[in-house]
Amino acid sequence: MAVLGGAWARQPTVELWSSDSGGLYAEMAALLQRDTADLPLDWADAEDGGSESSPLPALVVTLGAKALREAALRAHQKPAWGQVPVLAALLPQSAQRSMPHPLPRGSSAIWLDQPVERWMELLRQALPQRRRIGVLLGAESLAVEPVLVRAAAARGLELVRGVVRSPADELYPALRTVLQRADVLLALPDPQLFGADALQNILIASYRQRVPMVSYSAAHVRAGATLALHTPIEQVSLQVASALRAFASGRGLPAPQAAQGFAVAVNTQVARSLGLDMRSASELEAAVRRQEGRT
Amino acid sequence: MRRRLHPFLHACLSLPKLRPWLGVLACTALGAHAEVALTEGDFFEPVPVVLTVTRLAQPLSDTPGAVTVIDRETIRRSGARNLAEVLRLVPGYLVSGYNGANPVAAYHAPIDDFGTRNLVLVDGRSLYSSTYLGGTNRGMASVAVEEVERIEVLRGSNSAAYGANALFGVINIITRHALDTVGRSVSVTRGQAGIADAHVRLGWGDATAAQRLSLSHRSDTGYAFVNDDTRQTSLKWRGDFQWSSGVDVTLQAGVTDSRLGEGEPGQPGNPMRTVAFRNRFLSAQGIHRLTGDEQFKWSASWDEDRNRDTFVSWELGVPVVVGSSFDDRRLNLEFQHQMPLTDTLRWVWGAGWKEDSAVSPQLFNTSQRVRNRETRAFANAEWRFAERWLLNAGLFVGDDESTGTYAAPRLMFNYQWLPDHTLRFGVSQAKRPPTLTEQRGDVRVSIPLLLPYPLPLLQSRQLVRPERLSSHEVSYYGRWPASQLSLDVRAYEERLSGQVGSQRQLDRPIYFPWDVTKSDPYYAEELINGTGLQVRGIEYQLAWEPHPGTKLLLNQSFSRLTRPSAPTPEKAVERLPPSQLTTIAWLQQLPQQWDFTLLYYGRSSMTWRTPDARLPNAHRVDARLARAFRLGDARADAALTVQALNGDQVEFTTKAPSVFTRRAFATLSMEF
Repeated sequence: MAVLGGAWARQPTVELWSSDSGGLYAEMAALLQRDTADLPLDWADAEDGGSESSPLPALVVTLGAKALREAALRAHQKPAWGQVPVLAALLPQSAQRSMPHPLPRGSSAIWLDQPVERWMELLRQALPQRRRIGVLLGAESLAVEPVLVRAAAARGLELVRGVVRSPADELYPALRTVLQRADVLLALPDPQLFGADALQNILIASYRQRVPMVSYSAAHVRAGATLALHTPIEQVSLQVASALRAFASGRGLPAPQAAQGFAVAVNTQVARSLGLDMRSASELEAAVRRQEGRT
Repeated sequence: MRRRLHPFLHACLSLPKLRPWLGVLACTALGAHAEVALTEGDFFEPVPVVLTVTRLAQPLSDTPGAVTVIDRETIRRSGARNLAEVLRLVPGYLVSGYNGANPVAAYHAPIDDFGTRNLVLVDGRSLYSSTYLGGTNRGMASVAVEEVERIEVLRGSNSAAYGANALFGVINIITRHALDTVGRSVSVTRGQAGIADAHVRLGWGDATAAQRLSLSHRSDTGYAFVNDDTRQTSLKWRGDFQWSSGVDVTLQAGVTDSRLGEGEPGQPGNPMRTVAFRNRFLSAQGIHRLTGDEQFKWSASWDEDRNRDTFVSWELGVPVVVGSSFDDRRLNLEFQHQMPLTDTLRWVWGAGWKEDSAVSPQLFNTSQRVRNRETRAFANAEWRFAERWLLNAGLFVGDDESTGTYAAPRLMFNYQWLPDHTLRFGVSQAKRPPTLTEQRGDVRVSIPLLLPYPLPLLQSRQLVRPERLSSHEVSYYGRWPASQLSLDVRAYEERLSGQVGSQRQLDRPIYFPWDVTKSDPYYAEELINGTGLQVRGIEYQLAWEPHPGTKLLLNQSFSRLTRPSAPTPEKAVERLPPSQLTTIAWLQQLPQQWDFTLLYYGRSSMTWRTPDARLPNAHRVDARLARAFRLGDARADAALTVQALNGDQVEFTTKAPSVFTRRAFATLSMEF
């Protein structure tokens, strides 16, 4: 429960709800514990359903889309939980859009999505000669289209769009249209377009036409994408910790926000094969950070 | 083609302004079209490596020789209507032809005026015809420019990797993958010089199986003053299949029908006529990608040409039936295995078998099929033996049925003294076994009104041995990424020995019945290995993008050809290539989707045949202006090209005029 204008009477408890045990989530939980060690918060692990007798936590932090969905369901089914704000972390913005139930008042989110401005800045730093940005827009990524158009226009870049409403029929014709004109392919998160099988074929097709692919996951870069702008979980953890700091001091959760921290990954072998002169990942990160610092 | 979505679902997807979660809720409730929601897994889940070393093109600093790459966009913007025209962009390549229906692009032309000493591959299938003039020009003419993804020209001898005919270089043409051409495309060209081209393409499928069917037609009236109209129609099919994970199979088939003008007006020995040429082919290629950057490739192809050219010559005052009609067949089987042996050593090896055969009573004086087979094996090691050094050592061994075993070795060092600057130097030896006609040609003509027996024109006695080319070269490749500039310079010395030529059979005089005193014998010709020649030259190519949207390409070639052991001084100066060739291309993107290209080709004087038909210096300017726009859902492109903008060009020889006239043509193409 958000407390207005005043410190907490007692050290608040924060419930951590992970989508899954082990792997990514366990790593994230460990990082959170480390980053919030100095905060006056008590951590509690979520138990399925939540015990009726234990006191409600002050805040629920969910890691992942599945955890958020279950937390939202719980808040809907048990009115008491409907008063406990939820901080949704480690998920993309579009996952939250598909939530069937609204979240309690005072809830917020820290999304994995990188702001469009940062994509544009990275493209400008890494591939300044490439002025025609190709994007495939599917059901999930279509929502970002207006922002993309504005950002591209502002920088004098041409946006080559391929809209894919029905991937089974339209993916390859759209890819053909986009690769025909674009000199760089920007992959925005969309599982229908960039799921495991389709990603492989898109990587091969774009390489075949010597068009570099810029993606949102470091794993894609290892697979063959030339460049990625991704959100490492260390950065997510820091961002969550800073939101919790604001909460712990009684100011309430900050408004929902895109990823603040970021990292760049580069596949130097693919870049070299494409004849691209790519600066190292750390140089590109520094350059983007410098530019953001100025604006 | 396009599944019609349930109306409600369609409405859901096109109402982004609705509160997002409400809209998607309604859609997912219907469940007619399962949507996979985005989760954090998509950001962090590991993905298997797709672009392995074997899929990646070799960086130009690692290639064992100078390479020129021409991409699809450059081909389109150059306004070229056939493949030979595109090769102007390669240093040292002369583009011309004895007539407009037979365009040739050859290195060191006119020694190689039919492109015999250049290996031309289309998706791994050799376009070389072993019969008659043994060239690659007919094969190249049947490739539709619209279907080409990329052309890689390996300048300089590459026999160590590609075998016979790669004497002066390899032209590797890669056509578009079927998955990249899914959809429909139509293109029409009309213009002066009787230019009327059309290209229709239909592509369908997905990553497991994609296919393409294309129909193209090309026609024009060629040069002025020469009977060289071209009318060519071709139907091609390509299928790309993913047999299983890691196995890709490509199948291709095609038929090309050409009507090519031949002969000159007022020449009784070479009357005006139309040659009918048809090519059919089937090819299959498979790539098996194994783990650990290992790859296995195999290919098989079947090609058949049919040439019909029979005419009546009046050169002797009486009618004589002459011709070069033939049915030519080429079969080829090959496999190749590539693997890394250690961190610093990569190894490629392979073997193959080929058969060239022909049926031609006019060329071989028999109705039997004339055959020649060859088995071959090759290997190449790429070894990074020191930090900045790369060694390529290769050997090709062929066993030709008629001339025996021959070997073509190569040694090439690459030294990268700075990350963006590489020096290459090496030596190689290449061999070209003779064509079927060079080895077994037996051309006889009947002159019933004058002679009771057929008169031999050409009678090979199987004396021809393979030509040998030894070459030394030094080249440099440098990049200045900050200025978007790259430069490739190559200096070479090539010695060709045993060049195949004709000579009269002085040991076999033929006396005509009216030559009672036997004082004026006639001699037939035969093909033998003549003397050789030496070429020394330097060529370079410069690519520069001073700012986005502007591309400049400059290439020049300077060479000197000498024939130190020519039998007579006249022989020493016939068939001389131009000592200087220059190509300048300026490709400029303009605002509002306009596109402009300006091309300049300069050539110093040369002789295709004898010195008295010497062509003077020539300069040619081509220009193209295009605009991309939308026609409803379709993307369209309209272009106007003018070739020889600066005036008519004299081609071939000055004895009989043949002129490439200035011509303008317009192209409209659409993709939907």
